[in-house]
Amino acid sequence: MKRNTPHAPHGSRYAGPAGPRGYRSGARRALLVLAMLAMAGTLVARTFDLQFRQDERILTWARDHRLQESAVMGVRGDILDRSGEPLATSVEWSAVYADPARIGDPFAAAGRLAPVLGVEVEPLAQQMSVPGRFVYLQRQVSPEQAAAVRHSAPEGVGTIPELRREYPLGSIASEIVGSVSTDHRGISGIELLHDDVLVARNGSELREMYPGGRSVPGGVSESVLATDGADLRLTIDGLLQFEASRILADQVTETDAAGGVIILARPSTGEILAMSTVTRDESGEVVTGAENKAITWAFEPGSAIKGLTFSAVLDAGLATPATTSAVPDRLVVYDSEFTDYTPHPVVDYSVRDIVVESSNIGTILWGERLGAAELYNYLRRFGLGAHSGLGLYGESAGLLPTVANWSGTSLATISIGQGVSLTPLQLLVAFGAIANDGVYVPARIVADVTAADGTVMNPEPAVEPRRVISETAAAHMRRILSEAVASGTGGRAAIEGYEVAGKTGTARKPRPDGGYADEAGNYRYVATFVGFLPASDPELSLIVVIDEPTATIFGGSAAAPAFAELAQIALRRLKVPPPAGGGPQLILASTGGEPLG
Amino acid sequence: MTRPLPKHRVSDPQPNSQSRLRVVGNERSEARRLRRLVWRVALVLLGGLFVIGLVQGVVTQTQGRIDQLDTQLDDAVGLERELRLQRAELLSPARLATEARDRLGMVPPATIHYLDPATPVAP
Repeated sequence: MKRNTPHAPHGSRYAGPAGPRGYRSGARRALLVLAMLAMAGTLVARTFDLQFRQDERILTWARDHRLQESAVMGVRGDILDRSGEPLATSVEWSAVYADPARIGDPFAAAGRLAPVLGVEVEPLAQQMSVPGRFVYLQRQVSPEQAAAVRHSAPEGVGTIPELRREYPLGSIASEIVGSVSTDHRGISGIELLHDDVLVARNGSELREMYPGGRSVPGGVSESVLATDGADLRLTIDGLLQFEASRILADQVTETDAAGGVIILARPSTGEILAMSTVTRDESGEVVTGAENKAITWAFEPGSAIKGLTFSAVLDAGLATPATTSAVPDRLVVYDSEFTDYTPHPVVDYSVRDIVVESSNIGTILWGERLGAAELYNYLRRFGLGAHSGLGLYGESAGLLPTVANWSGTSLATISIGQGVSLTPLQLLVAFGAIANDGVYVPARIVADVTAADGTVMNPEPAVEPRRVISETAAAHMRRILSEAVASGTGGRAAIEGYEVAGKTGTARKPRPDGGYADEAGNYRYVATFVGFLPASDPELSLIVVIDEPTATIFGGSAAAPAFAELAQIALRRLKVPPPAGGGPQLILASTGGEPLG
Repeated sequence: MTRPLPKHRVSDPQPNSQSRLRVVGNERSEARRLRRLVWRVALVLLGGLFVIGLVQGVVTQTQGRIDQLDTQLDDAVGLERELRLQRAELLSPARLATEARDRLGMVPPATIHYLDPATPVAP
């Protein structure tokens, strides 16, 4: 039954008379108001909480979403040749990475990416399946490949820039310059030796970004500047280095040798202009050696050391170039018999004759007059038995035993270049002292260092120049050595128009297990020619060492031709004029000949 | 027959009608001024917002341009390094020798002939 209740007038605020229904309506309204108040209170409390209590957390969250921090790559310094052309430089390549957590189907993703990277699908898919948020898929990817990856990259795969070290001259000078790791740190050669100078310091950049990747105007923008590495200019001449490698490789091929070393330097400054090592690979092909044997290989120099022995004799005032003495062709010292290469009767040889004819017996006799202590001291002052000061890793100091450890034959053997070992660089720098009026000038290979801000620094030499022999003794020795080329064993080192001074060396190569001959009685040899030119006012010094030549074993025929060939090129390259009255100088014409290479 | 007079005649002057009219008139004027003020403030605010929007647009556009120039600068630096490398490779003596031998057919001399500067060269 419908119960009639009075209705409130339309639009009236009259709520009706009090009763059960009116009571409930009022209660509902009160509840509603309370609920709304509660909600408002909650909102206010939450707002207060967010605004004042959790503000840091929210700000951090916002910062994380709007601020992007990125690394800014510093560029490793270049290694330049003496004319500023790069021997090693860095260019921007890319690394391909993956975020495995974002890759749904690694095999599908790998299938798309593998052809671009030129790798197999399965290993790539395995790389994409490792746990974690970052994995390198491939490093040192070319710009073209990187563009292709970006074009076809599946979700979760991307590229990041990284630097790649390039050597524009290829293998030329590679044994000097060395190499770097994937992370651009030096691992050999100059790259390792001067890594602290060449290395770059990466910076970072913090920027407030819109989701689309554009910077927020006036937003946060903080950066720590990257610092590029310093450029290192070497004393090496790129062209002469190439020619040195080429000539040495040809000579090793021609003499059917195992390898060789060639060094070209300026004796007055110690600057190394070219320094090359060649060897044979597994297939027997002559290639540039990975090891810089110019400093790592200690060998017995043989007769080449006679230039140093007689420098000592002359400086000690025991003789002049014209002083003669009776020289037999064989001599017994202690328990060993020494002989000259060519049999001859006892003859009166001057000091000049002994060097020009490269007489072992004459040298031993003068060595005995000089004495063990004096010979040792002179050889030490010439730099034997000590590092050159270049500082390159793996450098050998050679072996010059102290006098206390000399045997009964040591004085004889050491004076003719046996029982003593030195590196090609040591021998060259020692001869450089003769060229340089008796002053030992240490070798150097770094010309200067240019920091990223343009500051140029000249490295201090690790070894100070020192006088080894007198000017007079040096002048006498230069004269004698020039005669050794003009009319002696070094004839094939002669160059038209220039007076060349130098000394040949042909030494038996000691076996690792002792002795010189193998089971069949065969010997292996090292052929050397070391010298400088022009003899009267030397501008260049040069050494050629041929390891185990077989076509010809003598320094005069296996090494001297390479000396002459490179010296001619260097003279033209460095515009060294012949001495006054030295002869014709201008290259007029050339015809015919063998192909280059 | 006379018509009864209305109880109130509007046109009849009232003792305080002038002050009441003035008050009404002043209220309307105040309201108009207030409306005008509100409109002006609204216009200024709108104009200000428009200008701010405009400036924001220009700033955003300029920032975008700066970003673009930054990218171009990075690209140019990278390209410069790439070109330096290419130049060095092109100047490489090994490449020149190969080009001279293989492409130009050049050969090194078998012998080098020298001129004596003292001897005049025949024309």
